[in-house]
Amino acid sequence: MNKEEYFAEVYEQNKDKIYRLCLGFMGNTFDADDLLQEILIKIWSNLSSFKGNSSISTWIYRIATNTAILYSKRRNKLDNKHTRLTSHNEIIASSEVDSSKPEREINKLYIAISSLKEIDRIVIGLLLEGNSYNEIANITGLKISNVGVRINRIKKALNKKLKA
Amino acid sequence: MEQDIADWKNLWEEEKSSPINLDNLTKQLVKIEKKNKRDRILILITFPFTLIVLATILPLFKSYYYLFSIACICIGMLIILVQLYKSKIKKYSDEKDFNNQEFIKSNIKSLKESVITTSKYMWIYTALFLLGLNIGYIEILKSLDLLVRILIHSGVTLTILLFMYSGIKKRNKKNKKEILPLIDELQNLIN
Repeated sequence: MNKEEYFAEVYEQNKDKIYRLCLGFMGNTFDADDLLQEILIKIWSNLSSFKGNSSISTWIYRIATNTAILYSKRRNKLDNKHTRLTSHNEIIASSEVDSSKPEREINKLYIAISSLKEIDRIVIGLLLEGNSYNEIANITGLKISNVGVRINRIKKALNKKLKA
Repeated sequence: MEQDIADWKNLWEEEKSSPINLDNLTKQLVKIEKKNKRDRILILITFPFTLIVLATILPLFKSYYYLFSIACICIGMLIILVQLYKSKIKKYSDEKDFNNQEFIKSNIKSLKESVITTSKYMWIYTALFLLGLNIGYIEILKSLDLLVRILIHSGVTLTILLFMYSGIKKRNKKNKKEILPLIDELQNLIN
């Protein structure tokens, strides 16, 4: 299998997972698409350094979350530099008017997650993707006990935001 | 609480990525990869090529002045190359410990190195470059009057100093505005 075929296979298997992490991290489809593209470029250019020491999905989660952290820092700086006319979160919010109830709930969840601290966004995103505490600790570098504490705190914060 | 997580998980999984043209993306990525490879090879060739050209043009081993001159400039260039290598961001290998925390730490380290390159090592390079250039000029200008030689040495030194000063100052300002706040923000993430 050549690099192009391998990349296509990796993309097909992981595209939705990565996209959801991007959307949870950024809170709007515009930035999420941009971030997804950046992650795909990183995956492509680092594919040859993947030796199989960990599972491909753990490796992809690491790339995705590391890229998201830097992307969000750069984005914040750009936002501070050029005041945008409309916040992208507002774009999502305005689309809620025409959307059905489940869609509204989905949007609300993603917006609530994107308002958490960066590391917390990653932790909850990974949890909702079905990763165990151990895997989350592995990807983030946090201690397992810390992951547990954070998840409890995130649950409370999200409940508060979603019920508001 | 567990029910909340289960409900959120169901909502979370409803989102799907929009389809992209993977063939086009792959073609572009291959193109960028080829260009980067070409650039890397070019940089690798340029340094020894410059040395060979200089060694051919200047009678290096006939005059200690030329030899010292080239040695100073080469040491300066090597110092900057080492610094550039140190400020390079680590590749995404699948090492077990290359997690978010390690990635942030490695980024902070790279960013700090790039700040030091401008604030410290570019001055060391400037000093070595000027030293090398002036030593070379001693030999090149030896047939001219002392006053003319002093004028040329001072003129060239001042011009290069001014040029480097403005470049380094501009870069330092940019670092202060962009890199230092980023380092602070990244540091906050791991604290």
